Amino acid sequence: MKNIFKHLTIGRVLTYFFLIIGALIMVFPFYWMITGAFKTSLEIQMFPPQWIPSSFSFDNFKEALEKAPFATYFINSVIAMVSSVTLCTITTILGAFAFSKLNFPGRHIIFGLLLGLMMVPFEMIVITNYRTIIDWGIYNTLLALIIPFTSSIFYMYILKGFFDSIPDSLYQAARVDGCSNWKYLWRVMVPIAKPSLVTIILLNAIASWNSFLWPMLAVVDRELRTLPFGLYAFVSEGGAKTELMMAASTIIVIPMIILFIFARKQIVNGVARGGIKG
Amino acid sequence: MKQVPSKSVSRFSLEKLKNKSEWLIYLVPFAVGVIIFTLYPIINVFLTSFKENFNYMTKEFSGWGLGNYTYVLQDPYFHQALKNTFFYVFIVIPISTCLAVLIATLLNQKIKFSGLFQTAYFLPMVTSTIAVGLAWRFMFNYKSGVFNYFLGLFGIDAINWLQVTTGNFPALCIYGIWAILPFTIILLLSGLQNIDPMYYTAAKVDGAGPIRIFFKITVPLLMPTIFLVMIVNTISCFKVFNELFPLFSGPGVANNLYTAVYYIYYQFRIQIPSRYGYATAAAVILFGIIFVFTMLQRIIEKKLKN
Amino acid sequence: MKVTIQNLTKCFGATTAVNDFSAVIESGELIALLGPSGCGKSTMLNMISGILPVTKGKIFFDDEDVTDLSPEKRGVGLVFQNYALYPHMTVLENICFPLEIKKVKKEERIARAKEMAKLVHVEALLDRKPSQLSGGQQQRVAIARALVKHPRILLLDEPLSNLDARLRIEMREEIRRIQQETGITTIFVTHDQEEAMSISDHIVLMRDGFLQQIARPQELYDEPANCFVADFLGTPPINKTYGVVKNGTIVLEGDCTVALEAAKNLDEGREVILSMRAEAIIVNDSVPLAEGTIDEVYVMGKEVLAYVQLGSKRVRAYVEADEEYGKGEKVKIGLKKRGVFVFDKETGERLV
Repeated sequence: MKNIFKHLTIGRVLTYFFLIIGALIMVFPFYWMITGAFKTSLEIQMFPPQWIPSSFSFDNFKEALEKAPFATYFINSVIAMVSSVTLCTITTILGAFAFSKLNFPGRHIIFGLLLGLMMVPFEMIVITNYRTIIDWGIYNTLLALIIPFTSSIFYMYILKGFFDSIPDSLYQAARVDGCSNWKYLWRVMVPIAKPSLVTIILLNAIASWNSFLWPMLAVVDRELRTLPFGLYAFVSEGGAKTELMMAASTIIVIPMIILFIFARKQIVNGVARGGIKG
Repeated sequence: MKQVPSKSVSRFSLEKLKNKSEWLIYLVPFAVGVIIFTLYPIINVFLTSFKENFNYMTKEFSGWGLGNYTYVLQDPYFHQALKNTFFYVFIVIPISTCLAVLIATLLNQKIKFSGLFQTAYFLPMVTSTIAVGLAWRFMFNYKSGVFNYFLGLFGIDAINWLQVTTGNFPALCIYGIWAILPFTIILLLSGLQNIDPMYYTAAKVDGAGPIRIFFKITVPLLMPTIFLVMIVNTISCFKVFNELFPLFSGPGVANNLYTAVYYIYYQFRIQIPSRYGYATAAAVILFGIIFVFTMLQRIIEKKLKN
Repeated sequence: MKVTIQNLTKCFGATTAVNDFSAVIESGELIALLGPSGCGKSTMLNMISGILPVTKGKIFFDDEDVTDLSPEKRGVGLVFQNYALYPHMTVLENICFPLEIKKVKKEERIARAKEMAKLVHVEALLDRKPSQLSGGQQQRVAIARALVKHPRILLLDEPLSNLDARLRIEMREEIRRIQQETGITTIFVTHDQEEAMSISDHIVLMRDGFLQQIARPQELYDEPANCFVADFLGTPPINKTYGVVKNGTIVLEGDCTVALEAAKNLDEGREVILSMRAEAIIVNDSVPLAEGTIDEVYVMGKEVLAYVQLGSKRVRAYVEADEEYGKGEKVKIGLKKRGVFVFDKETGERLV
């Protein structure tokens, strides 16, 4: 008995040992980024590296904000994210309800077609969408960052799956009471689907916040850039100093880290259930 | 015996919609976006890829044909892009999958602070490729980067990760593995949680040790999920693109790191005037490759459900 | 509210779920729609509620033709098998919801909801969510929600099938109590004969979309209209034997003559089914009608069940507890008048 117990403890210790080593490796880039944001130009070039910055002054952040309009980038990112996620969530709810509960000609065929469309890589679609926004005259405007993302097959597919699991008897019960489809959707379906909706909104918000390729194509003006594109432009245009790069990177990454800490379960569940977009 | 179809109730109640076209209100807002920004672009890309000498601005073209494809397929840059992409897939997928299986198994144990561990392991999934990529660029620095510092501790000479062709491909792979791990671990973890603990109990009763249990029970039962995750990751690795910008500000030293998507981007955006036809042809070829893997994925998913 | 159903037919594609069904349900009664699964009883209920459109025929509530009215205009309260409570709403919100749709003022809806909650005894649970309730409590809430808008009739679809055995008996008495307190015409669907027998005023028995019989529970048991009705009701199931009318007696398969008095009026050579309830068979009767052999005897507490070989069939019969029978013993079999039926073999029609 004692022997087994001893063996178990060694196993436990090894488990923790490997997990901690792995976790340190995984978070190290974040540690390095954030500490780098506080280092002086001298410290950042030191070899062997300086593990902890000598002071925690926000000078680098100030300087980065002076050199490039990161505040504007931040606001642009927020505007693009909030608008596209809001619009997309609404169309997703309506579309998922139609496919899940309403009967219309060709419903199953259309849904099958949409599943087929889901596998087309975004990179392929982008080529034409670029041309479309030029034709529409919204190239190089914030609208260009929002309009193409007002509906998503992927999120509709996830939400429809959840709607399907809500028993039809609820629908009939509401109908017998004289409840309209519209009211049923917003008063019954949506509140019940709240966990799923939160997941969809979170995944969508993360994707929007981090998107790089599309903003790089769709806008050129400095004051229209979003954070990732703005950061990249900051680096490639100015030959920026490393500590400023780290400060700017920290600004982009921190909101998502905070979001993840608070909503880890919903995000992880969403990813596990539907895979991630992209 | 006349069996009434069980689903009949819902089917017929829906039939009796007061307004027969009510569904349009729900479907149209969703459909408009999909048609304009997903369906039309795909059709357009397919069509354009067969247009010879397509002018991006005037939309004129000289005729239909396979000219774009013959050009792209003979272009050494495209060959290089495909080669790089394939190599990238062959290196990143096996290594990341093995690591992820190991980490997922460890995370699946009854451990304390599992929330903290999960946060640490999954963080790369939600953070910007560009921002974190810059941190990696800093870590890969030839003179002052931590990577070379650690290599030095083991007596290995410093590697020029970013400015030399032999260094930047491994750098891209290391970053790629790190970035893809969270997603892989999550899918495997949910696969592990679907394994009936009964099997573990039975194996323990039979006196199997943890390593034997891992190889004889966990891995075989997890195999379908592992396959699935490998295919999903393969698809996303084929689209490697964003990572090039923060690390190398482009396709590596002397353009040695062209990838399939970068090639499309290059033809369509960097080239002036835009070589739209070549870009679409390359996009269709990429789509073809992804299509094959997606079909594989669907087949495995179906098997998983049964 | 009197419910009149005229020649109601419902087809799903090629299958006919309800076939030319006519019935009158008197006001204030509790009616059971009984039948084996797939017999069309739920379809019937859904047509009365208006969830399903009818293929042919008419439905009247009193004198009003409601056939083409949508569910909400019929004023029916419906309770679903799985209760269909809205999981995100509290008990109070659930009961209030039908009134909210009708745009009843908030104070009034809460007052009415509370009144209903009191009626079904859930007034202490108003702030709970459905997931925090037991099956029986959910059922009560579902009934309250169905009744709160003062429907003209109350419909319950298999109301007890999701409950465990003890709760089932409690809830069926509750349904009876609530129905009698409100006096509302109530129709409930069930496949459980005991459930139907115990609480309903009339039972509507269906099979394969056809109406078999409408009668009071005891009448249905004592005077079945056909062989199916006799088979469907009763535990243990009725003894069913096949035979031919010969010389004013019935000769069962395996050459056993039953000198049934009533058989004298039947046509010679007619093929019939002789059905006998277990309690109608008298073993060692003074006026024997047939002869049988004891096969097996089971003592089951207050009663003793004997298996008697009658021709080639084994029939169940209750015997006196103080008498002892050995296996293979020859016995004289008598039959009571009540609980013995003769049906036509082909049509299943009741002959005697």
